[in-house]
Amino acid sequence: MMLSPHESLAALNFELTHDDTDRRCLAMRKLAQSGRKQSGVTARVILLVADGSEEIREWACEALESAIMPVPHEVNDLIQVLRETRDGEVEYWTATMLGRLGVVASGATAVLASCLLDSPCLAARERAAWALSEIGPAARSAMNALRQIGPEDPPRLQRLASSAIQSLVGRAA
Amino acid sequence: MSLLRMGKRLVRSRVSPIRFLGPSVSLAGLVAFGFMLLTGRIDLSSLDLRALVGQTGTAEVPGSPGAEITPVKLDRGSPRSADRIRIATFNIQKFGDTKMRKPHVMQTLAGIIGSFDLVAIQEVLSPNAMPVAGLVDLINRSGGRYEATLCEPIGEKDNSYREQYAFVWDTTRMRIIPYSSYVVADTADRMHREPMVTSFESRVPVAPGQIPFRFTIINAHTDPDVVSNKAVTNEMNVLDDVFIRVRDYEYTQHQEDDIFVVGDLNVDVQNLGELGQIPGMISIVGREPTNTAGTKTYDHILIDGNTTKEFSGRYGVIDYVSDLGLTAEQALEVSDHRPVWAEFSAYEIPPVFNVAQQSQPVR
Repeated sequence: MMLSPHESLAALNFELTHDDTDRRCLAMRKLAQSGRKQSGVTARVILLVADGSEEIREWACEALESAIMPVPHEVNDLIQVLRETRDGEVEYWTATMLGRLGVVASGATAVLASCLLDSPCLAARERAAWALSEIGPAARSAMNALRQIGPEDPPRLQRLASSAIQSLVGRAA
Repeated sequence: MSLLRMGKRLVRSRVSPIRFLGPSVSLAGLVAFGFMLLTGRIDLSSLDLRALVGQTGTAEVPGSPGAEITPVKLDRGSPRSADRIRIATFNIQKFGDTKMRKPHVMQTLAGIIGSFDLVAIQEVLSPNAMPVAGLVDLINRSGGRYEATLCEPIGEKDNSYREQYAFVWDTTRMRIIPYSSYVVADTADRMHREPMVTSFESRVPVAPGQIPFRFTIINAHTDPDVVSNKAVTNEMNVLDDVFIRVRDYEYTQHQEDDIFVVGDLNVDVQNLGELGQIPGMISIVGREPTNTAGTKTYDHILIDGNTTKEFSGRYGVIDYVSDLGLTAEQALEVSDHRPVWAEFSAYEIPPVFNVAQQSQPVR
């Protein structure tokens, strides 16, 4: 019997949060190897980047890179993840997913700005700058944060922040 | 230590390659002998972001009518050509300990790799070198004489997810140029995963007066989120600078003009950015799908059609289902990417420069 998309998503969520490591791993691997784009489990997969199992972490990263397509109704979940996490890799992937959403993730501007300035993970800060650039003028409230990135910061972060400022200003012109 | 002169800069290159001793040792022997990790670097931190656009200022557009390039099915049962070599690029999705523990997957990989004279591999997760060593060992147990080299794990700083590049080659038909391997030093952090560069030469016997084909390969795996043609930080607009600097260096040092860019670029042929705009640059695979699902073109073998006349015009993309008889699920266990290969002359063919032809697309 074919499951409806809703049932399938529920089943997938169930497997991804299962107490049994092997079941979580299998679900994660299948997702990463499916060859299809999957929505609706973005936050769940991001949290698996910090799983205790190295194999799950690897598959989660692979899925996020190539198989996960966030959708607008997931923005609030992603904001919550970014607000609550202290894990640099979780921050990195959450910022990445918000960047992929672009302007529909404008509600994440404040948390992205915080990540940009406060994250101890350079890669996450860079992704936050990139995500703000992808959001565009709707993220103008992050301008002050972006302008705080200066010569003392790593070159790539400076470039990304500069690019984001141009995006926030340039597209509105 | 060796000192490499790169333009006006002197860069110290730590050359201590990790290599696997090939057919004469067992896997245990590989472990016993140990590995040397290749960490030699050439500093390209002063890359000019502007592409050096050639005379025409236009892009070589692959896929044009009247293409001379012919896709063919790989006949794995036939003996290797006496005057041609096959080079492949293969993103073996998450090629680490987990995949290594699957004998059926390793057998498939060994069969694929063993069909080629040289394979550039991406997405290796092999800090202890065991998965690649296991693959080489498996090939050699079937009578092969293969070796491999791979670089140190590379990726985002502060991020535990890092990958390696590897090259695996048939030592009876190819040789690695000693001390030619390095990872591009990306001190300005322009790329998520800086490419690995290595030079090889054919060992296929050539006729008197002919010179074995020698070339340099840039092995790359771009960040899929940073290859948008709208972005200032588009990695495709950095890879062109990498190609140009590597080409200039190799020509200055070794009179080498055959430079390939291979790997998972995460873009199709329409989105090669400034890399695709380098005069003469062609993607051999063109628009043919290279992901296992058969829906996207991510993987490329890029050459300068003006200089690399050794390309025979024959290439292929291996479909796991139709070519290897795997099920769709079995195929995805191997990788979400298909191997892509191209055939070249085993001996040098001088480039023929014709101004009238320079702007003609090869495909």
